Amino acid sequence: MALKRITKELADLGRDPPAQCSAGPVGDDLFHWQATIMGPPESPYTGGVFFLTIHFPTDYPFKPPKVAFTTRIYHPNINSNGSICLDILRSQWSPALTISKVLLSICSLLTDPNPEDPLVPEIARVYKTDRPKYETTAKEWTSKYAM
Amino acid sequence: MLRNLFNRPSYSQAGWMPPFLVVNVRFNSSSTCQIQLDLEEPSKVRTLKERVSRKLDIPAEEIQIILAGRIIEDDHQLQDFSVGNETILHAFREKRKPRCPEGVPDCSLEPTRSSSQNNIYQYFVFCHECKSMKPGKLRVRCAVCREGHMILERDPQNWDDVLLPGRIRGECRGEACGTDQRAEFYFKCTGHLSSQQESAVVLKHVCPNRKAAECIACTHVSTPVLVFPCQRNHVICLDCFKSYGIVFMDTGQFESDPLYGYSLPCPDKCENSLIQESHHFCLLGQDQYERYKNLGALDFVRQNGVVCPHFGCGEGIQLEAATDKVMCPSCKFLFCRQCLSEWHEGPCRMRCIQLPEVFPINPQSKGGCKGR
Repeated sequence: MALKRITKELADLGRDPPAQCSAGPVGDDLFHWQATIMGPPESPYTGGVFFLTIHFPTDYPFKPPKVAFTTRIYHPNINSNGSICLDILRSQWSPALTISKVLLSICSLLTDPNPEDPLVPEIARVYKTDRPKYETTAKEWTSKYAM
Repeated sequence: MLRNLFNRPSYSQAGWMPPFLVVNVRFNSSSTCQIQLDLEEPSKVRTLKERVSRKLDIPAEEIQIILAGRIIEDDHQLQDFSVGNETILHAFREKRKPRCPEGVPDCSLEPTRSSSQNNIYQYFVFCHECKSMKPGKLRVRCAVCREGHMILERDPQNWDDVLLPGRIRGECRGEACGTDQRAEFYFKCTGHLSSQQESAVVLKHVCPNRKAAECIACTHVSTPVLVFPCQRNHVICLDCFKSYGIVFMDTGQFESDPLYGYSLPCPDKCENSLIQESHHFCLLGQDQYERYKNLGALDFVRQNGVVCPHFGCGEGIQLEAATDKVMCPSCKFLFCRQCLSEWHEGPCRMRCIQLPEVFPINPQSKGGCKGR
């Protein structure tokens, strides 16, 4: 079942790829993918290319995929391990969601961080109190790690 | 009323069809005559009546044939109603043509034959004899005499009409009954020859995938499928339903509902999407269904009482008084309801070890990452 669904998602991604994202299996193992997200134009991440890993559980899609950044990024909801704080990857996961929708949600998280529920409280504090400093640091990290 | 005993899809799937069709016509509940029809030519209802007429010496125009609560017209073809070998048809004798809805189009109670054998069935049952899901046939009988000579006053419009007793009445043509009787619907398995009284549990959420809807999990289109009763009618294929049920049973995510018992909502967590009939969990396989029943019973006991913690006992104990001191009626073990260890005076000594949650579930949170 999981394999059938993953194969279908891969075919759909090939036919109709989401804007600014790409994803596909790393090797022969269809349960392990790599994805890239281009930094959204309206954000300090613009110009950067961010890599992510995706691990599908064997009971996918009843359990969410494990998605994490491998490229370092300065963001209140993404920590130094690359873990992403996104409800649809945890409690709000639904089998009706797909990797394509997950990647688009991550793109919108890059444009609109959620400092009220941070994974890195320090970045959230900077984001809330000193927006220019947040933007500068985010741009610096982008050019340092993602270009 | 028609009793279709032999129309098994496996017949044609096996590539062998008998060259003729033998149907049994049951007359006024008493006599049954066997009619052989040639399959080379289309078997019209009129032809059948002529054969019965010759055999029983009754004028053909005085014979009426009942199928699923309706009188079928002379021009209808028997094969259209999936009449197969050894089917029992109900008949009665009446001089004038009885009152009957205009034309009787393809009877809505019985699917018509189409090119694909898998598409001819509208209903699916869980058959305990075949130990699997099989296409089912909806049948009607008089609730009093339990005979099939029943002409319905109207067709059922929904599941409630079929599953709740007494919603539809009809004219019973049996000798002992009057005209206005309660109709009783039941389902039969098409997988094996069954007796007249034998019935199977209908799986009301399983139906042919006529709209070619994608499975919510694997996104493939298959048929039949399970359709959840949520507003969006989410569809899941039967393979994925099996995985879904097992994963959610493993993780204890079934829900207890006062009306529908221990059940599963649609995977998208829609409101009012619980599966309304527990036999659908037979589709998870026999072992898993046994597990489902045990977990459901355990869940019920836990909500209303406690399970005896004594090694090897496991008796479900209903608790009425709000006391912590419980004695198991079966093994007489005296224990504390709070810590489930042997009864003690004073506070519990053993405390639960709180395992750290890997993914704290907080449906209210937007980000879900509090404290991590």
